[in-house]
Parts: sequence; structure tokens; C-alpha cells
Amino acid sequence: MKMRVQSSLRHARGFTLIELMVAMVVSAIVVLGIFAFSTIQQTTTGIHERNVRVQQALEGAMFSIGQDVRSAGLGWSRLCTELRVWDAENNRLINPGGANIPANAVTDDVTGEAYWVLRDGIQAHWNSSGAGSLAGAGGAAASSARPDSAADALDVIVAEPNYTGSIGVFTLAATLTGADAAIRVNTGPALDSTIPTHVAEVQQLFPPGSFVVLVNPPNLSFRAEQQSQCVLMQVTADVAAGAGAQEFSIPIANSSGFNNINGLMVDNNGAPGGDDWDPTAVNVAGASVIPVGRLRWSRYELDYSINRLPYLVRYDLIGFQEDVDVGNLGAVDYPHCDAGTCPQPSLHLPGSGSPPQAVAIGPMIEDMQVAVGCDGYTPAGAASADATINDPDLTFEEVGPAEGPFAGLANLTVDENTPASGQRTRDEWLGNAVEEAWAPDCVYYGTGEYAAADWALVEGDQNPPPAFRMSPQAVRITLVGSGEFAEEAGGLGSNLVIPVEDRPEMASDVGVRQRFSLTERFAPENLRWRDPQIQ
Amino acid sequence: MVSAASLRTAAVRRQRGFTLIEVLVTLLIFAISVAGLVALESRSIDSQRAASQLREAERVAQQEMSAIASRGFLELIARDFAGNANPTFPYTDDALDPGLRQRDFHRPPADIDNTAVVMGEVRGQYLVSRRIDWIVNPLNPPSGNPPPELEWSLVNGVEIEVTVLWIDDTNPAFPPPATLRTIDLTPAMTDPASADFSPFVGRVRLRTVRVNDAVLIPPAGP
Repeated sequence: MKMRVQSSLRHARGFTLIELMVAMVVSAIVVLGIFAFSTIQQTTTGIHERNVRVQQALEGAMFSIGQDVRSAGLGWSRLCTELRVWDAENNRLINPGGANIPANAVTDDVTGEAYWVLRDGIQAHWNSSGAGSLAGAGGAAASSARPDSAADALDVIVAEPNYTGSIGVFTLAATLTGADAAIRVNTGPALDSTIPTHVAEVQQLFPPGSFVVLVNPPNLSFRAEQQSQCVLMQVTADVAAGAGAQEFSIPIANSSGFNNINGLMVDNNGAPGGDDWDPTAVNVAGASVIPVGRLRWSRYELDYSINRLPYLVRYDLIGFQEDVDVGNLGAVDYPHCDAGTCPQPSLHLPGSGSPPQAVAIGPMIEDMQVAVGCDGYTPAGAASADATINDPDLTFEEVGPAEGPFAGLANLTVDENTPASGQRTRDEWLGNAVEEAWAPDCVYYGTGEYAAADWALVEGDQNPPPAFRMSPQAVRITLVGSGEFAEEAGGLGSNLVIPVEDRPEMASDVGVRQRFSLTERFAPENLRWRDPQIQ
Repeated sequence: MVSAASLRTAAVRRQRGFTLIEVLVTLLIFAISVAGLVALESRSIDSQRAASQLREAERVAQQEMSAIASRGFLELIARDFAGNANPTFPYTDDALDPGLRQRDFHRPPADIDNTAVVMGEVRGQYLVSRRIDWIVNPLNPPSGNPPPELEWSLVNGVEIEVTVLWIDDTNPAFPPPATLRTIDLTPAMTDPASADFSPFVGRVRLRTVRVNDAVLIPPAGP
């Protein structure tokens, strides 16, 4: 019995030191191998994930910009040559046509350019005169909107689609005077202001804090030379019934900085300024009052204030700022605000007392380049009986094919041309153009066309004029995003940013990264060039 | 009766270790499993490459689609991709020089020479193929194909198709021939029913319908 116990004890005495050490060495090698594999896997997964994150940032940013670009100018840009916008802080009109001469036009504090966005609802800022880097020399205020940055910025004005498109439904009942605190509008017999439900319906079309555009009488056909500047005003309270059965009263009290009737209606445009404005043609009974909802004026730009963390941001130049703007309008409920809580967006110009505030859109976006394609000029669209307007250069357009149904007709397609006799050379994209001695020919009647040479003197060497005063037919946007973490040089990473549009290869402040680009082309759907049938 | 000495001998025998054969067999099995792991790793890298190629192809397709979407509806009806007026539907860009339909990996539009090398790009990686077909009311179609200009309003919409093809060299089971060039690819190569079907050709296809959103042109009056 004792023997058996001893024997089983010997059986169970465990491994020898040698056995253990060998086993440990072998398993260590195996574990090391597995560990190495999993490290490689982790690295590739990490790279993959970071790439996806960059792509997502690009896609998301492009989506945000694209939505706005497509609906830029919605509701007014086909009807107006320009929006007249009042800046209460400085007591002035800020639209280019609001100045009597081009030299007096208001320019933006950051971009240094006139507010041509009030003309088409879209304006690219690609002025990068002498810029040697993406971030530029702005330091803590470095931004792609500044002329010293090689990257671009973009301004858009969008209205709310559910309110627009009602030209002729509400017409001005009586000429507005400086003392008016409300617009009297007439409607057709379908609406009756003595019926409370009808008043309630009209109230919903003009919520407090939203905007209206005053357009010259709609009985004129949409010919370029019959278009005029329009007036932007802000609704300040609930719509009420007016004097007659078809009359309603839209409050536009001067509690809103936009509603300076005397300033808006002033006729200070002596030649050669914006002769597309005549208050006696717009501020008349029968002029159309169009609701455009909560119109927003946004600027997309890259914020380089932290040079290793470039960010795509949006500034609302017309927008609502919590705790800054009034937010207690309205006595009835509206879809976006209950009674007593309707916001009143206001004008927030850069450099003013209440500057716009940044809203983050996309991280790690290092470059944005905007090119504007334009080839929509038709002599018919620009024809004018007004002798004070210089006819655009009729040889400016790209000639069409020599034969076929389109023989002799201008080529209105935005394309990349090949040099050919009688045609201008190369492309039709401004902000990129290989040979920018030729500009695209999307010219349009309005302030920019009056005294084009004078504007060129003011705006500098944008060759040739008109440069960014073009009405864009297509907008091409390229975003370049970079990974969040530094990579080793030599692989796919680099400290150089690939050339995009007219920007050459440039060193990056961010460092060695793998970079991705996304290019998309948008047509602003509301601009006049969309359809050549509308002259 | 078993002596203590013989017991010790038995114990020594029991702990004498593995034979050479045993060790070799173990090593062999171990080597095979490691080789499997290595193969797995290389397949995993291949599939990562395949995923990134697919992603880039989607990007190329999306860009092409946005370029077509940004053209006016009447433009799409009036001219084909080569700029010829009044094309017959459906029209494609297959007749265009394939060199013009190639797109480069990682190459944004830039104001530089076409032959200049851009960091990270792969020259001629993708071939783009576009096709536009019309959608008409079968009860009230235009009088002919191509539609006369005055009947463009009868084209209710167009079907836009963008196909992006590339040589997929990430599957070791189907290696592409060394002589195959991107410009030689055709959409039929990705159709399993076709005689040209080639499993080493990758494809992304986007298709959408665009309604006639242009102002309708009234027929000529009396």
C-alpha cells in the first residue's frame, strides 16, 4: 500500500525545471508570433478606420455645402439683380449696387471683397493674391476666407423652400414710406382677411423673424433688363388683417435692423453705379411681396487658428445667435417656434459689433478649393434697350459647331475646351483656369455689368473683369482631408498637400499625413443660367 | 516485490522526454499553422486593398454622377458626351477615346499638366463609362429618336448610369493577365452572363433617374 502511494506521488511530481523552461520558451515564441500578427492587424485596422473617418468627414462636409450650394439664391435670385440689405450698425446698404460708385461699395472685413453674394446667392472667395501657404498670415484669425490664404471660402444665401415661389400672390397695397411699421399687402379673392382662419393661414406664411423680399411688379416679363434690385425686410410680429377684405398687414417694425425703409428706398445711384435700381419702379402698389422664410446667409471657410487642426466651419452672416438676438417674437404658434419664442435672426458682419459665430462642420479638412464654371452667355439674355449699359463683348461667347442643328449657335455647355481657331482656349472654370486670360462668359445684367471697368479698378487685378461677379452656372468644390495622426514619411503619408485647382503643391502645417480629396460639382438650381429659355 | 531501484529506473524512463520524431512532427504542425497565419495575413492585406479600391471607385462614380447632375436637363438631351448634337437614345461615351475616360486614383482637378505626377495617384486606375437613356410616355412619345427639338418636352426624364471599372488584382484565385490595360476594360467583362466575363475586373455602378425639370418648350404655334 505504502509503495503504491509512493509511486503515484512520483507520477504526480510535476515537470522538471528544464521541461518548464523549454515549454515557456516555445510558448513565448508562439505568443510573440501571435502578438506580432495581431499588432499588424491592429495597425492596418487603425489605418483603415482613420481613412474611413477622413472620408466620412469629407462626405459630411460636402453634403452640408452641397445642400446649400444647390439651393443658393432660392426664391429671389431669378427675380432680382441684387438684394438690398440694410446694415443698421453702420447706417448703410451693403449690396454692391447700393453704392453710388463702385469705389464706395462696402467690402467685407475678412475677404476684402464686395458682397456679390447678394447678387446670385453664391460667391466664391478665391482671391489668394501672393498667398504662399494654406493657412496664410492670419495667426489666431487665420482663415481660408482671407486673401493671404491659398485656400478658398464660399458664401451662400439660402431661403426656406416651403415659403418661396409665390410671386404675385401678395402684392404691395400702397407705397411704403419711412414711417410705416407694416407692409400692407393685397391678395386675390381666395383669401379673406375678415375670416380668422384665413388670417391664421397667412400668419403661417410670414412667421415673425422670417424675411420678405419686395420685387418689382410681376407683370413684367423676366427679361434681364426689366429686372431690378429687390428689397429685403424682416417680419417682426404676427400678420394681422388689413383694411380691406383682401388686405393683410405684415409688421416690419424698426426693431429689426433690416427695416430701414428710408435707407432701403433711397435712390443714390447716380451713373455709373447700379442703374438697376429705381425705387419708383419697385416701391409701388402692385409690387410683389414674397415670403422667403428664415433666410440664412452662410460662409463656409476653413479655420486655421490651430494650425495642426484645420476645421471646416460655417459662419452665419444672417442668422440667429442665442443670447445675442431677440428670441421672443410671435403671439401664436408656428411650426418652428411656439408663441413668444420665435427667433429674430440679424445681420452679423465680420468686424462688426456682433460678429458671426463659428459652427463646426467638418474636422481635419485642410483645403477647400472652389471653381466656378460658366458658359451661359447669350446675347439675347443681355440685350438691353437702356443705352447707358455697355453691351457685353459679343465675341466673348464660345462659338458652337459649324454644322448640324446647333450650327452657328453658341456653345453654352461648361466644358474643358481644346484650343481651336476662333474659340477661346482651354477651360471655362474660374478659380482654376489654366489660361485665366480668358474668363468664362456667364455675364448677366445688373450692377456688375454697369461700369464693369470701374469695378475692375476697385477690385484689382481679377483678370479680366468681370471675374467673381460672374453668375455661376456650375460650382466645383474640392475638399482635402488629412488623417488625425502623424504617419511616418516615405509611405502614403507626406507633409505636402497635393495640388488642387489653381493651387500648386504646398507644404502643410498639419504634418506628415495621408490625404484624401473629394470633388463634387453642383449646379445652383435657382440661378438664371439653369435654363436658357428664361431670358 | 518491486525494489526501490527499479522504481527509480521506471520514473527516469517516464521522464526521458520526446523522441526526435515527436519533436519533428510537432514542429511540422506548428510550421503549417504559422504558414496558414501568414497566408491569412496576406489575404487580409489583399482584402483591405480591395476595399480601398472599391471605395475609391465609388468616389470616382459619385464625382462623375455629380458632374452629370450639374448639367442642365436640356443639355443632356441636346448633346452627347462627345459634344455631338441631337444624339439618339440611349447614348454612351463608349465611342470616346478611353484615354479621356480614365480617372486617376487620388487626383483632384488641378491646374497642372495632365502628365505631371501627383503624389499618391495611380495613373489610369479607373475607367469611366456613362450611359444616358430617355424615359418617355409610351402613349405619347416624341415622333422619332432622336427627338426633334420642339418635342424635347415629351422626354419625361432620363436614366443616367455611371459605371466605373478597374483591374482587381487583389484576388490570388483570379490573377489578371499582365498585359491587360485599364483602357481595355468593357462593362461586359463584369457580366457573368457574358462570354467576356472576367472575374478580375472590379465594377461600381450608379444609376439614377432625372426628371425633366427644364421649362417645357411649347410646340411651334400656328
